[in-house]
Amino acid sequence: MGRFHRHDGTTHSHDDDHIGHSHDDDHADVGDHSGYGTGTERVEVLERIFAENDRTAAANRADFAGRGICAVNLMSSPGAGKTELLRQTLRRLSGPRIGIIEGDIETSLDADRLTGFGASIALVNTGHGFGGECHLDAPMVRSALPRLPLDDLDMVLIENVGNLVCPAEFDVGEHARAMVYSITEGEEKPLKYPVMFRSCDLVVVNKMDLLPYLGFDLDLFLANLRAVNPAATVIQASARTGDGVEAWCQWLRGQIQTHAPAVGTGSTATD
Amino acid sequence: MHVQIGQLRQIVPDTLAYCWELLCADTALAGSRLEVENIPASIRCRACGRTTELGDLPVFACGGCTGINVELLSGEEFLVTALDLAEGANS
Repeated sequence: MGRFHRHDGTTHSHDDDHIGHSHDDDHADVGDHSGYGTGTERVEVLERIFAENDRTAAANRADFAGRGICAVNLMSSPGAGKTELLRQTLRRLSGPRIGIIEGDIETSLDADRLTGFGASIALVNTGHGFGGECHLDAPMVRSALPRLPLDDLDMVLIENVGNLVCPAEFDVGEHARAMVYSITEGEEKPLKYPVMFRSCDLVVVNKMDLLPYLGFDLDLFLANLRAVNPAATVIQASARTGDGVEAWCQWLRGQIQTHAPAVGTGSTATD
Repeated sequence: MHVQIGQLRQIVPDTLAYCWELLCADTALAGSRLEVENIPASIRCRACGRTTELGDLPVFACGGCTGINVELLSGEEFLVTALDLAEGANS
């Protein structure tokens, strides 16, 4: 480390190294260290680039756990049916007290659809104007926590921004990840978005009521899903007709029992 | 700055390097560069022990016995591994 110094008044000049560099050159000469041939020192570090997000996620998870709350991160492409599934869930899932963190780029349209069912809702608009973040990260979820009555909840459902890419990268402090996939999206999606499909504990295969009208090959989709994520639980459902929604609710109850066993299930805290 | 990016991270190295350059412009780090090392995704079969690289298709099955009880060995890296610090570069 001794040879490294900065802002220490040394008057070396390395002006010839990078002035006038174009982006094109940069892509072409990755790996070229000629500009650093002398006077460099390598410092080994091993720092996860998402460490900051992951620390906040751990704090979120601890806050949930400390209050006996199970948190589920619900992800999908836009229009797959997350909000309708949540609406049906709030209608049917009696017992557990539910809070919802609603992530949306803009508008309160989804949050509005979920009001009136007795759940507490905290809206996180990620955008300013039209457009915004394409995912929720741990600090965004943390910012929503003061707006939920956490002491009176058993479960927090986090409706992520509709997107099959970025949400999969960000731990927000959830205990389990679920995905809504709709059969209008095509059988190959698990192979095109493997990180998303692989990250989920459960995949709800939604809009099954449309099966007679689509050339959708369910077996092919399931084979593709298994190739990417053999362990995922699969529930076939139609949020519109209600088919399969009870199985989804049962899965949620199971998550509460696993991650917040003392609440919402009739058992006592001393179990 | 040396960065490892695993195959299973949804990161475009050229875009990351470009953004790094934009961020560093007009700062003490102007002229610094990212050196990206791409890490292929690999799995080990819990049944037969064989190690398989995923290649282009994200199929998490053993290349030997086709078993799906596998563990991920690499591919999720997103790390800063080292810094090359140039003497006097900021003066």
